Amino acid sequence: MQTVEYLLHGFAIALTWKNLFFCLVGCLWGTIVGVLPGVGPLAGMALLLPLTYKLDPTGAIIMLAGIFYGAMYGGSTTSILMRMPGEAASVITCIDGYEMARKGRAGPALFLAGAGSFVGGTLSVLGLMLFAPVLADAMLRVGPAAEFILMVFALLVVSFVAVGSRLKVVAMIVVGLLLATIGIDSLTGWTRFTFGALELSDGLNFVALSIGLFGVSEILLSFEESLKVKPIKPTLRQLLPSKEELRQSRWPIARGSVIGFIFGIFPGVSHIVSTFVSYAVEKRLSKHPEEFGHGAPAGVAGPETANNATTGSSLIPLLVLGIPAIPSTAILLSAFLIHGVQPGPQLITEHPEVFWGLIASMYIGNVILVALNVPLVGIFVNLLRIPFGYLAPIILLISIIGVYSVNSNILDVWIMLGAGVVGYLLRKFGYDVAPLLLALVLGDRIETNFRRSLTISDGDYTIFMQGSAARVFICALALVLILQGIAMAAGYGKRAAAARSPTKAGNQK
Amino acid sequence: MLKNINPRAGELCIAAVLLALAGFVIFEGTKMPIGTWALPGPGYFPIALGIILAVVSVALLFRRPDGEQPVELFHTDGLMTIAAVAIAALLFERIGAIPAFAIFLSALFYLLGRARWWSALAMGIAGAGLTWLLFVYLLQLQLPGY
Repeated sequence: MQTVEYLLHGFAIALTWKNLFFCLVGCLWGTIVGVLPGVGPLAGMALLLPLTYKLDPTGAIIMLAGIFYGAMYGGSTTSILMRMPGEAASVITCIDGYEMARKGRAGPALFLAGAGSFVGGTLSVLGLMLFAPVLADAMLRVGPAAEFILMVFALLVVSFVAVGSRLKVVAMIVVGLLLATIGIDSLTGWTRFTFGALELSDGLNFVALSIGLFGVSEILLSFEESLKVKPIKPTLRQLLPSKEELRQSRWPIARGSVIGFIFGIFPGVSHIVSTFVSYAVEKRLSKHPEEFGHGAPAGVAGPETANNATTGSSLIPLLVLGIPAIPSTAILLSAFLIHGVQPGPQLITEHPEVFWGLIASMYIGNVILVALNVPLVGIFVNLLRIPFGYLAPIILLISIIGVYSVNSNILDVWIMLGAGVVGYLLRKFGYDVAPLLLALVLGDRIETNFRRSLTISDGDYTIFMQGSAARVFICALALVLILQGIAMAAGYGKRAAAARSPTKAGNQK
Repeated sequence: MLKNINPRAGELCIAAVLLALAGFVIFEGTKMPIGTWALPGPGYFPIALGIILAVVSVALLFRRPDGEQPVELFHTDGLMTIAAVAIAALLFERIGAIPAFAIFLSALFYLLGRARWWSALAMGIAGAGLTWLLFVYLLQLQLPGY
């Protein structure tokens, strides 16, 4: 009952003209960045971050969150009409979405993607609303030792699900943790790796690094791809799916909501993984698996529902634990901190207007997004006509302003450029930069909690196993390590078998 | 543009840079108070991370590359973009943000958008004007010179 009261209070905040406007701007910009290849939700949020500096925290978070979940809606449009994912979570939609479009069913494919996104997104917010306060209450009783274990667990999960070689992922995590040590040590005041630069005393500017690693590197990579695909244009009359298509999509949407919500809680690339899992589940459960890959409606509805269902649940680690599950929520974390709000277990009690205003705005945002995406799809597709040679300078200009405005420091622009070039090179050679960014965000808290725990226990390492919370996290940590070991052993086994295989040897000749 | 780069060479270079970074971090870390096993100091974490990075880098040096196809690095447009951002960063505080943005936009519209020079210049100046209107006048952000 109390939850309903809080939610009504949230709606009173979110339904003010000002916050409705911020929600609309966020959803609109999110859809645009979702449609445009090369500008994902992370870059989209980072670009609008400077616009929020003068806003109140609630309005700022409502707008940035709107970009985050809005991008998931927009990403499906280009996947279906052009076989070109607007953002990574819509890759799988290219398969059956584009095939439906080729068969003249582009409208129904967009409708099913929109409807699934709405259901998944809304149920996910419902889950966030119900679980976050309970978890936050439990987390208030967790000490620094358990918090340390929890964060190490988060990083291990990232290394488990991240793309590419495990060794490369571990290297990126360690580099991220090392970058987090730059600046003044919070426990002793000792200055580390600043080399006399006062600007580095507070550490590296996270916004500069994230825009560089993701935004600038993405632009540099985009120059190497030619995007000359002609989109298929549906008309409004062709939008409604047939009864059979609706019937085929009903359960995939329900299952996609559950899969997306569960995967969204885990750090890493949950929004991408959930779409692949949903697709695999639907294909496995389908009476006609042979239709998958040739325009099956379930192959669009399931994954699109799943990627939107991750948006609500991926906010749980951020809002309850202060841990960003994916790089996009790391930008949200920055926005919280810039506005003087510390996400974590105390957020709901200390800033209820931000938490409940955000929850209510997400319900409203999902309605806005359906209204924007389904009938106005033709307008968004026209954005793709803007040549990249004009789009890239505008994106870079806003990036420079955004990065500079955080500290009014030109060094941050240089850091952004350097991170962009390094990110480009790393991505060219198969390194995923997302774990680096998450490690950078968590690094300081991992070190501080580790050392603080040892100070409290007078150097006794058994503190990390004391208390029920710490034991639960230790068990989870052990489980992930075992799974990692099995996955690595299986990988080595497969590679060894492939190397011994005479067919492969023959092919190599 | 750098063409036909062997992926093995690229991966070896990155692993070598990571190894050098690990060595540097360990060296710098030894200049800080390391503390004890029971009560770690500010140098403890960097040194521990440096050692882990060194081990991972060595493993990366001996690892088989992910792909065998030659890699192309730095498209001409990408190099021009990097140079334009660097020049904008150099000019930003010297001549003021808005003139620097006008030069930045005009140059990139001309070089990347393949616009005619007068068209690129007009769009660059208009873009810089809009930037002033939105960020300086309406949002009151503090940019150099304004």
